[in-house]
Amino acid sequence: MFWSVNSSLTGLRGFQQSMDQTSDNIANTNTTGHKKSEVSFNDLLYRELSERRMSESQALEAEPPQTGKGTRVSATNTNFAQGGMEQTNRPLDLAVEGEGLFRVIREDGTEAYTRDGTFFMDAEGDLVNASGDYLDVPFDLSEYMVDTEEGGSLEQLTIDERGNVYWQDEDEAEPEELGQIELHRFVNPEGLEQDGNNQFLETEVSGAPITGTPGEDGFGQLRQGFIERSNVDMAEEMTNLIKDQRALQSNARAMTTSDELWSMTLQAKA
Amino acid sequence: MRGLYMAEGSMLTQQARMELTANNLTNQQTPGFKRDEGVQTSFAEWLLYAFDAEDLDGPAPVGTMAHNVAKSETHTHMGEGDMEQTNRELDLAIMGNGFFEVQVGDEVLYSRDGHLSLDADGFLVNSEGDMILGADGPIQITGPDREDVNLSEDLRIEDDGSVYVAGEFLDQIQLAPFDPEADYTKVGDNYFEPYDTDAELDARVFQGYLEGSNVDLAEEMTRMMELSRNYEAAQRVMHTNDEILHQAANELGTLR
Repeated sequence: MFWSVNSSLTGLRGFQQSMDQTSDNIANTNTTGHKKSEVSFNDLLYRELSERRMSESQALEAEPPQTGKGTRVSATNTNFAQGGMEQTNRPLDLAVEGEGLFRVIREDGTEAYTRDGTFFMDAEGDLVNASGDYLDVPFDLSEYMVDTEEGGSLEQLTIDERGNVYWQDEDEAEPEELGQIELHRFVNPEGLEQDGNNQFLETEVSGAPITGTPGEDGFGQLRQGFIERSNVDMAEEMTNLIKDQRALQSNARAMTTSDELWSMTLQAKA
Repeated sequence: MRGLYMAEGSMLTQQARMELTANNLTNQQTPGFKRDEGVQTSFAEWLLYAFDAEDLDGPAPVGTMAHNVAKSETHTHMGEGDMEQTNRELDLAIMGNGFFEVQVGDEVLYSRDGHLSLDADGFLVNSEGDMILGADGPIQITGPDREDVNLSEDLRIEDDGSVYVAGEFLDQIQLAPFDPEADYTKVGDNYFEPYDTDAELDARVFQGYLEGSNVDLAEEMTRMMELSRNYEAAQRVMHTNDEILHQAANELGTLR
């Protein structure tokens, strides 16, 4: 009896989830290095419509009539397309133009990967992001920024597109080379696990990280003084929102109609 | 009593159509989904005879009627859904009468869903994690031999389904032809059961595109309006029949 109500319910749930994802993308339009996600749908199992009011001879010719039980969200995919570049001129703002990700080391020692290249210097001279996770680099700035008596300025820090970090002292002609920032990429980036805070975790599906330096094939180049904007495209999200909303409405309508049919059935008796 | 059963048959048929419409509506964003439509048939027509005592030649025919209506089959419309450009290197859309062949457990099922990804071993899989088949079986895009490929630059899939990784031919995605008129059985998760056909394969694969569902919102809403009015009419017939039976049972024999 009225399985259609249950089918419509799966639709309402699914499109609500899709709408949630769209709102999440829109909410992150201004999140540095954010990568948008989208959900995809599968249909559910099919069952035979039991009411077959046909004589046997006719019935043998055709497949039994069947109907589906609705839909479900089968996967959520992260889209790693490049976001736009915004110039900030901050010496510790870094953007990757290409596929590489920064590796940060969290307080508990675990590693995470991110495209968010807004870094700061903490009291010990380490490079950290806004949540205090350390950028995985082989140097720190302590002897330049903290211990020098006259104090330095971050303006003296240069990072080239290959990730080499230089410190220019005023009274020296040649800048001093501190080290190189490495980038990491994955064979199957869509397999990465999203872990909030713009960070991704390595999984079995993503494969092990491939480490390289900026400028190497496939890793992309580093841009100092730029940040990568979110890759959310407002026009696309608005289109999704319209699609989802209409899908939700039509499923709600179907549910109402099933309800009306049901109520008519109950009133059939005089 | 015949009218009562006819009304019931009609109501059940409209219910079945409602289920199909509801299912189509829920799958309006399912990639590669093909919409279903219920086909209604009437039962065999019967001759009605007038029994008239004065006619010595026997009852004379007065016309025909069908005893009932039935939903005899579900027809799946195999028309193409909208092509959406996604620019994702692992989104494939088939244009024409082809299915992907997918290894699901021990059997091979067909699907039009081209929203693919890679599994932990680098095999080309769909969102269920089932492997897409090429001429030489499952297609391993990355893996021990190709640990550092860069999907967005190195993976190219031609319109005949040939898969190239970094310029090197790997395998060809197998497409199974379908006959748009045939009766396909769906088994969920965007799969169709295989069906032997003589149809010629005339299909091309497009990388970076995704085939949407071929459900048409306006059509489904119209069908819903129509079926709910049909249902209402059948319900009225049932109601009236009940009233007639009520009179027959309770009022005809009463003495005043």
